[in-house]
Amino acid sequence: MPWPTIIVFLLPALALYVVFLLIPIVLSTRYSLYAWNGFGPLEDFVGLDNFQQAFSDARFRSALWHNAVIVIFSLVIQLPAALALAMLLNAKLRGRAVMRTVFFAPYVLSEVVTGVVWRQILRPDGLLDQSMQGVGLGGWTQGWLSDPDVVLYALFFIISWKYFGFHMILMLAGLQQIPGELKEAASIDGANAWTTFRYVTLPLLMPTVRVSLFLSVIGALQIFDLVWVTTKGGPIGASSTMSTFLYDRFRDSRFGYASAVSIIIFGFSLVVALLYQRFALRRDLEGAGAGV
Amino acid sequence: MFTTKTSRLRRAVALGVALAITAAACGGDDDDEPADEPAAAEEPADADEPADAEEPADAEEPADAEEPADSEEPADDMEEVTVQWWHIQNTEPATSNWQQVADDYMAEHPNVNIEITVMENEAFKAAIQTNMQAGDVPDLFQSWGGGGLLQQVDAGLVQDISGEVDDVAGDLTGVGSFSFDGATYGLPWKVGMVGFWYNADLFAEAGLEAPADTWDGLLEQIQTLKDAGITPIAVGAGDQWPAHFWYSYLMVRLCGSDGMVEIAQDNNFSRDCVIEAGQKVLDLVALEPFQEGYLGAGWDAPDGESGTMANEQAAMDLMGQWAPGAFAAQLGLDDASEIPFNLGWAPFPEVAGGAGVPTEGFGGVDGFVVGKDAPPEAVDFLEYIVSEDVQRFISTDQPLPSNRNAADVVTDPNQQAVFEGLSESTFLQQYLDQFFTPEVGGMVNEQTALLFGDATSPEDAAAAITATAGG
Repeated sequence: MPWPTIIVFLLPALALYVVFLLIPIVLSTRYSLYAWNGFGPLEDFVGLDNFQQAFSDARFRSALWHNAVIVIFSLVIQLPAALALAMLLNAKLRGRAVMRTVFFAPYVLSEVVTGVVWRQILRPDGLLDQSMQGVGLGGWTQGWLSDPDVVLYALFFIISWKYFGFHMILMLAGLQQIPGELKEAASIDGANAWTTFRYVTLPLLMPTVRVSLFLSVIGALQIFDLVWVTTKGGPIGASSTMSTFLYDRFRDSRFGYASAVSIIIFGFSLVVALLYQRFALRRDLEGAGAGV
Repeated sequence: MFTTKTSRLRRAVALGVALAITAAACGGDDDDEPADEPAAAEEPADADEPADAEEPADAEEPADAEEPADSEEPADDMEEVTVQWWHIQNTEPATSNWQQVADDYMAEHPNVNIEITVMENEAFKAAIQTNMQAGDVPDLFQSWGGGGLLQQVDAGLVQDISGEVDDVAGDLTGVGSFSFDGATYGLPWKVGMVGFWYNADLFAEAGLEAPADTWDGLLEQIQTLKDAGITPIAVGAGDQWPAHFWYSYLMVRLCGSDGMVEIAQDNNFSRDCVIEAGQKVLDLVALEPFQEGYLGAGWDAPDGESGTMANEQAAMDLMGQWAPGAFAAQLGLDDASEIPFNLGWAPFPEVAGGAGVPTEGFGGVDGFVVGKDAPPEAVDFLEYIVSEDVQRFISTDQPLPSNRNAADVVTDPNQQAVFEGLSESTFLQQYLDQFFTPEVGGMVNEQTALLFGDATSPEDAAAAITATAGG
């Protein structure tokens, strides 16, 4: 295709990309080096102080820890659950299409709607508490979103509820690309269900698992809307994430500091993306015969 | 008095515009005092007028042409001026009333077009920050004065309107929140004070009459209420600021006005009275007087402080004068007078051993400040908003009028008690989260929440605030 044509088609997207992505990143990087309350000129250059302050700020460290917990739980609980469900729904079951739709449905809801709905369900004496009392489990009710020791797990449950369907669909798509002949061959060779899964299905599914893993980690690092709507990072910061911490600093009118935090989040995400690129994507593309 | 000022302003604009376009047209409907001309000419600000007036006019022309009212207007002798007005009265009937205020003003001043932007409180705070950063300041916008406004003043984003509003300011309560070093940047349209809103029926059920006038008495009442199976207090500690009323009012009582002024000057919260206030909060929390899930509860939600009070699930809350309206809204009622239980108001109790006295209050004001690029009409409209008649119209029991001449619109006995408290107060400490910069205010709120969660010590809380405040 001639260059002029390429440029014409590329320009609109490129302009948006530059204006709304590249320029803000550059500006944020600049702001992050200043103590700035958002008004007036950038005057008070503080070098890397904002970054240093973030890592010595107990609130940021606990937000970082909450992100880590969500990442770990996502990998250890959410993804295996999604895979198991995908295996089930890949089998020939009655009502399979309906079940797939049902499990995928939460992903279609917006994060705000999800947050509002679950907030209502989990509120003190809300739907969950009343249901539990109804079946004689009243003693087990918790301050799901108001007890600092419980809230992060409740939040992780909501996050999983919303996203596991997405990962399930990804894995389902991956499973369907695995030729049936291979499993047949395996069973002729005497493989049972577990060994078939372990030595045939899983290795062939790994590219999909890695995509899932990557999206899950990046999503968990950046998670904001769902947390904000559901708990605002509270109570007393017990469910804060790096992004809610950032937003709170924005509301405190500390734009320099907030920018530094945004750069840190960007840095974490970039590292994950590069690691994925280096260790996963290249191999997966080779495996897929795309060649590198 | 302000009519002559109005016409002078109008003349000033008219003159400038007329000169810029081609003169002649001036005269028309304002045939009062030809002596205005020299006065207008004297004002150096005149030079700006044509530019100011032209800008919005260009943008507005097509929109205006659609409005039948405008086309009916006989040849207008004044350039169109647009005033962007941001307010946060997003509930009825306030939204309609405020539209009415703007409509009335525009009917009187056909050349002024008031563009209203109504936002919810939190949305407003986020949006105004963004606009400020971009240098796109609304002409007239909601403000709580204090540290937040001071930042805007320092950045040159708002106008000094001292000279123009001095005559009106004398009638208003709370102008101090919008003045720094003798310069005034806005005017209050509403005043308020924090106190106990209590459910008298629930109090009676526990054999009590009203919240006690001493702190120790209050703690005893809390136990009495608990013994009667009633949740004593509703608080939205998840939103943090409702909880900060407790911490702050205790500071006011323990430090006294002198102590609070000292804190404002040296930004040092690490003093005995603040630490003792924190200890008193912990004493309160130790009694477990709050509704279930209070740490995660917000102020205005069915499961929040207002919903809990409205549904009679708690006996009292410490809140500003807007509380009855919020209770009514939670119950789907139009008016606070329809609330189906006996609602009472009581001032915050005295605290034994504190330097403060009962006439020292804790509250705040809502006002409007004038943006840096606002046309003179914005100031004129602001004076109109706080004028006695308009204050009578927009204020009933709620909001309480800032204009003291309109005091007679306050008829609800509870709101009268609040208004009296305000009038009698010898000192009014403004909400700490608005009095200080957003950063320090945020830290006060955060430390309050930690105290309410029994997750910090009074010493650490005070030290954390001091560290942020730079004291």
